Amino acid sequence: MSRAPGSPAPSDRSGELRDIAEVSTPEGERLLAQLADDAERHGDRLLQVRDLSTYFFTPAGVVHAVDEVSFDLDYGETLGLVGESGSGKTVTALSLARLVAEPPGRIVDGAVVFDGIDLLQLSKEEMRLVRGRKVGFIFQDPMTSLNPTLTVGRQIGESARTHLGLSRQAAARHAADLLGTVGIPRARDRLGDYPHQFSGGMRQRVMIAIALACQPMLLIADEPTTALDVTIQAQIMELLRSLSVEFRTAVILITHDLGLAAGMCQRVSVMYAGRIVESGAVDDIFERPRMPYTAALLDSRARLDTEPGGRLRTIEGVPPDLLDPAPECRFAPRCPHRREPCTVREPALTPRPSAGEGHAARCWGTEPGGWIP
Amino acid sequence: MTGYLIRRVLWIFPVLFAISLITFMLMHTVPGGPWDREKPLPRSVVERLNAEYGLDDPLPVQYLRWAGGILTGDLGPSYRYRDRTVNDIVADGIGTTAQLGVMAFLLAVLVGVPLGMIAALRHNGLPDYAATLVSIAGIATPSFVLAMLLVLVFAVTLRWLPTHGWEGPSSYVLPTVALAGYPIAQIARYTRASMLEVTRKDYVRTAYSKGLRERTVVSMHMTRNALIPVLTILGPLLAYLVTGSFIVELIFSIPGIGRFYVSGIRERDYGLIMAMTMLYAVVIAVLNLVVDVLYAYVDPRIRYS
Amino acid sequence: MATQSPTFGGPTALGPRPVVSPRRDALRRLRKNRLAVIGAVVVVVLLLIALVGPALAPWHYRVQDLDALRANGNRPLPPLSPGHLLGTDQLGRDLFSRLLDGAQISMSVAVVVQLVVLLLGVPIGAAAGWFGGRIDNYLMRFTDVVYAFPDLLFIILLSVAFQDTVVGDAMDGLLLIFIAIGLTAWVTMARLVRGQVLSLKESEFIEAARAIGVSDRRIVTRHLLPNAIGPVIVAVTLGIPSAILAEATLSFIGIGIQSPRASWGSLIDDGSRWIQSAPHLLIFPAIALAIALTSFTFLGDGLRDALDPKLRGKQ
Repeated sequence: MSRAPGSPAPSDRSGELRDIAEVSTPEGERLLAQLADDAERHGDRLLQVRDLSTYFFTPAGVVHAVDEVSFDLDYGETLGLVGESGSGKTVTALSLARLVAEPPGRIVDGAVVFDGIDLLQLSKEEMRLVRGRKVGFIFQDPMTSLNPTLTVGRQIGESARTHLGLSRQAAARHAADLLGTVGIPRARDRLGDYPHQFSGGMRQRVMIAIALACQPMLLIADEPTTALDVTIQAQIMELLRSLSVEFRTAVILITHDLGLAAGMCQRVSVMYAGRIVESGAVDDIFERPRMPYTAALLDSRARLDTEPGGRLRTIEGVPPDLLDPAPECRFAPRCPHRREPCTVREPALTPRPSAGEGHAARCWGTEPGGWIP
Repeated sequence: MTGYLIRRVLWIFPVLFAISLITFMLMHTVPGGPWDREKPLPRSVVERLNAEYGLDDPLPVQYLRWAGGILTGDLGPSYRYRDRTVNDIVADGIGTTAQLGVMAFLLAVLVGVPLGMIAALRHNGLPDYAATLVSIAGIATPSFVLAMLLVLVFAVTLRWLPTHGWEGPSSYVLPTVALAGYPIAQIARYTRASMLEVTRKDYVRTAYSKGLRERTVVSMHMTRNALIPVLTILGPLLAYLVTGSFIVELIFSIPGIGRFYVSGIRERDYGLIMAMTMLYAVVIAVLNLVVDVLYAYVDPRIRYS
Repeated sequence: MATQSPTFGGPTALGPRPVVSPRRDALRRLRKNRLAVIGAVVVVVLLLIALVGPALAPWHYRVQDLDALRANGNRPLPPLSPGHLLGTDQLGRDLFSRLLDGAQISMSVAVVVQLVVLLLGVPIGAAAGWFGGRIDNYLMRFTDVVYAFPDLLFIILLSVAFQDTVVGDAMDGLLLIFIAIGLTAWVTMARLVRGQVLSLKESEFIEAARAIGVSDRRIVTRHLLPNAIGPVIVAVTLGIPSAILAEATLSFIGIGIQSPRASWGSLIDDGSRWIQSAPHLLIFPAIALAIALTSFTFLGDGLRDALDPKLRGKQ
């Protein structure tokens, strides 16, 4: 096993790829080099998103689905992207990997610096090499997200064969290992099975195996448990959590469920109407929300200590039309703390050090000197 | 799946039985006998003919005799061509007819499927409009119209190809194209629609998110899934090919069984009509069975259930 | 409509959507489909022609202009001859007028056959779907058999069998064609309606109706069927081209409409004998047929897309 002098040892992520890499063949050598490269960090942080804007050009007008979204993600960190349907969280995630349907959508502005490289500047082919290899995706509905006419083994092995050049047999072994890792019993036997032969929770485990096949640095999970039974939800979340630790993968968890985010994420960014309206450490967000929308979200959760017979609190009104949005604060029409500045100009996302380190919010009222305590 | 297959195969028999019964009864409710010509024959002759052909036996007996014959491969006599049995007529032409049918089918699939796929992949682009045009043309022109337009252009005006006959490759072209026109249009339309639907599916997005090459996504994820629904129209199309072949054979004077069928129809040769209807029905039933089995085999959700 | 259908409110990235009735939504989408609109216009024109055309035709379809014919050496007159816009056939009969007669034939086949299909297929399919059990079983076995019989063959058999009977002579052979084609076409409709009823039967609003005691018959007629109407309309429209085609094919072979009436199919058959010297006898009927087939197909496709529930509310 040769190693370039001075480079760190191959990252001690799960043993599977390393086992394959340790075989002294050209394939093994290549894998080794890739794993070594993975272990190096080429940027300050894994992900630095700046002013990402994705618009949809429809006959009715231009929809500002994602508007100047910025956030950071550290290597190995878990970030929760929280918001209701239509807030832009899914489009943001798809934009990171440039998976947005080109007509009618388009990423009109911004930078997505991933491990030191701006993904938005890459050619299509270069971007393709990043997808699956450095960034893995888990989608919401495992029933429709898996190809019904290919065996599970092939679907897992596909990205490994494409990106890592594994032979068919090596890919099969790798797939079997992965299936076992995600908790599917008798993995080897099930390689030749088709998606419809698995239950919902198992299918989602398969999706996780697919996403992790090339040991990506970033895992984007878009509502991974929304389509599953509540009892399975907990299992899948636990699996995600433990795997991300084991593989040292950073995770962006997209969800509308604050509780889910709280259980797994270190930091949370709250999205509303295409904007990030608050972000910070998860405990800070829960204990000291600095934006009325966040507070209202927290308030509206059903809790064990809610009075029986009491009503759940909702947020009045509906989210705004994102077709050429007005220049005011987008939450203003529904905000109980609204005052004049809110209807004139949209607040910027500014730091709130009093709430915690790295905490920021987009609200006139909670700015230093503002009217919300 | 084997349970399904067995049931499917067994189902053919009651169906064929019902078809034979219907055919038989229809032909025997015809007023007047099979011997009617412009000049009515003298009674004694008619009676003799009836006795000779067993037409004075009670109907159930006649049916059993006829159906029994079919089962053993004896298609019965022709009432017009008294010196030949239907078997003779069929044996003469079945090879030619089958050849025409197979060629038209292959042409339809080999042209229709790629046409539909490219139209979908270059949605709203030039290939899409071209394919749509072809589809429209195919639907608007029934085989006999297409046949004659082709003859008009290529045989009469340009004189590139012969106007009739079935000898040598140049005479195969026009009839095959005429017969394949409508199937090409339908296959292209369905393939295109199916492909378009598949491109919107979630698993295609998953495939892209894995960073697979474009051609892998198209072949392994899109096409595989898109072609399965297209199989469902193959059954009716095969039936169309079988029944449409006799019209094309008529127009191009092709020595297959089709033109005998048509002349039998025109001349009220009931023996011939009955037998050939059964023959066509059997062929179509078997082809439909093959398509159904193929469909069940190709879709893993059915194969492993 | 008598029933509830899901309303479309709800916030999305586009903001709250206006609540539009399904009917208006479908009409809007249909209007945007240019091909479908053209198809619809042509269909209306064809139906009008079928109604009044033959009455307004310059010549009766069986009248022979013997003078002009003889003047032309007993050969068919070409298009743009005086008095004969599209020329004549070898017997001196005006082609344009005969085309109008053909239009009437084709359109009446289209309409009547679909009426038969609706009158037979809808009740039978609804009964099979609603009652289920044995009734459904028997009906389905029966339709399976009819279904398995190749359409064209059955139509031909029927036509040949009853050609020389009273029925066969009625309306120059039209009645027989109506019956023959209608008998094969109702099956698909029955299966379609059955499928719709089966899937709608389990819907919650049907459960609700049953729970408050609405009678079975009322449920089927006022709640189920109106919701199943979309695919039925599409099937009717798309079934018309095959009916027209079947009739044309029959006439082409010589067992359809009786001479001297001029079905487009028999006109094409006649025209085939004059390909070299008088191609107009072939081309014009072919064009007429093509126009009829494509316009109904476009309209049917447009209706299907417009009524597709999956596309509701979208552009």
